[in-house]
Amino acid sequence: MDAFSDLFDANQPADLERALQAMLARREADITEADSLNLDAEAPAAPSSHRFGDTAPGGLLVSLLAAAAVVLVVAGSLFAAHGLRHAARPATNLPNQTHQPTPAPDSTVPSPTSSPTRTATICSMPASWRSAIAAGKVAVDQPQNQPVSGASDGSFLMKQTASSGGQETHQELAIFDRAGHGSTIWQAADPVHDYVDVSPDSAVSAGWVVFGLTRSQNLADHGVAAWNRATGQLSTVRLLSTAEDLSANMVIDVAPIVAGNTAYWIEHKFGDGAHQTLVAQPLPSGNRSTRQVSTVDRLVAVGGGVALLHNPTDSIPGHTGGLTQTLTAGPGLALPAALHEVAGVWFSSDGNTLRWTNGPAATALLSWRPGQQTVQSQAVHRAELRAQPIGPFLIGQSTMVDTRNGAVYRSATGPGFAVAAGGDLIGAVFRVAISALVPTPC
Amino acid sequence: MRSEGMQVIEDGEQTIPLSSYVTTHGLALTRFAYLVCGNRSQAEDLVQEVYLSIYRRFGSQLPAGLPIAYARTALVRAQLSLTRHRWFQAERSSDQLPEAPAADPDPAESDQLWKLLDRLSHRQRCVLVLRYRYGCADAEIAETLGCRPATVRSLAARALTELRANTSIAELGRNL
Repeated sequence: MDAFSDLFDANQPADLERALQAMLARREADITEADSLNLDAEAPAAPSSHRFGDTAPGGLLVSLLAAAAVVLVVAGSLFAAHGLRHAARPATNLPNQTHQPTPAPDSTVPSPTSSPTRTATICSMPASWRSAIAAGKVAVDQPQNQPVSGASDGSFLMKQTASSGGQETHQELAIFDRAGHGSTIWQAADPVHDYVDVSPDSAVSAGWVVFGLTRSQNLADHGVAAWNRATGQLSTVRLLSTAEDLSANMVIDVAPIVAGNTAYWIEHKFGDGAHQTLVAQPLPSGNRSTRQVSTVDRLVAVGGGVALLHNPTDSIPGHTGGLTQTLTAGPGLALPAALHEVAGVWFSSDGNTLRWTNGPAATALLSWRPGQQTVQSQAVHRAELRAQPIGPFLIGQSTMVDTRNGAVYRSATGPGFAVAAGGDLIGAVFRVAISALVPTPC
Repeated sequence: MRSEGMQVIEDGEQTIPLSSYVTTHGLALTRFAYLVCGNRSQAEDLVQEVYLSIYRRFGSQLPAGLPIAYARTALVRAQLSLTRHRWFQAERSSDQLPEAPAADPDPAESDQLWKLLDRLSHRQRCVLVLRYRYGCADAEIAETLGCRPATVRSLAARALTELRANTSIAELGRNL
């Protein structure tokens, strides 16, 4: 018997709660200095004259673009300052280091088939690109707009919000077609608490938009929704019951996707990523089928089929895990031997081709499309750590690498604010044909 | 995630520089980040995300009365959102090699209760930190997490059950 047994009964909540209080207070004291950033030294004062929503439509667009331009420039400065702050840490500074080292090649993928221009500089975005982006503005009716998913037909999903006093007063998910026409798919009844979970590349098919929906972030009201692009009808495809949630502890925490006319999602018991169910639901109301899977971290639609991306460590609650994922074939997809052992980071799909990087350092961009027997590999130099492939670009928090020529441009768009859609690059809030962004050396 | 839209400060509203806000609340915010994510380097990154999100929203001049609760809320939601979208560990560019993670001050293997927090979901952990370190009421926690008070109670109950099932009596004693 433990010596404390007479004093502390683990079945008495008060003891655990008091222990928690004491432990947290002690741990808080681990931090003795603030994490600071001298923003004022790096950033010019932000304009205070923007007025969203009280201008004529044309004026609104001008205001949005002006604000976006200012934020891009200023945020670029901030990101640069942040980078410098991190670089200043003494433990890992390597003077004159201009390229990230290239790790030993992965034996499962071929050597890079091309060698882009090596560059040690980060340059400003070409003027022609800026012009193309400025010309590609998308008309929006909300002050805050984030592209969240692109489709192979050029349409894309935008999360649009408005806020006041730090709280969202409006939240909607809208789809924009290539012509710039926007349609509201879903609007939050409770803008502060409702939440949509959208796959960045596999939420839209020719006929459907599929996404996860958590109303009021109440765990008992959580499921999968589908929007019929032809009729504009939104329907609930799956809704976890209270019993499933509170008793069985079931969750849907992988963004649902759509491939063709079938919605796919993952269900599992909370904290048990080793035992998952992949659900396939023909839309709008076909017979549901299931398959047992394990450690699936993300679903991606490619070539009409489904790729399963696995991350074993990610299933541990509270553990953000490593970024590296492995790939297996899901419904409607056949993988050649070359992909059976592939591990990579930031897998993304444009509907036809799967792209990913070889690791967090992103020293190679890899790609494969159904039907190919080999993986294409392209060396990348000086990509930002954890940059994500979006179209032919590797976009990080402060830079974008054009893999077509290896040039690195300063950018504050960030991977969270850009998607690729049908040969176009979508940002907040613009659409530009990637072909118009002509590779330009630094 | 927010877009790049910037919130307007009404004419005549009292403002303070963002740097003053950082000076005033930086330590408390860094400590809060550390408790909710359990890792010093991730905490620093989260705090930077919050500063940036505040800048995106307000610019370099903030409303004078902007409470730390606003930054806490931004931090919690940044963690939830970024983790969901796998951008949580995004780093900034640098001419240097990636830095080694900052060492946590006390990685004592014996601190079982601290380590057990890693087994909880982010929202469960946030609830416990806000409730047991900051003494927040469920309604306030709900506001921070963007959920209903009933959900807070559910999250707390599940978290405590998990901890209780894995915490030894001796560990409880060590922490009291």
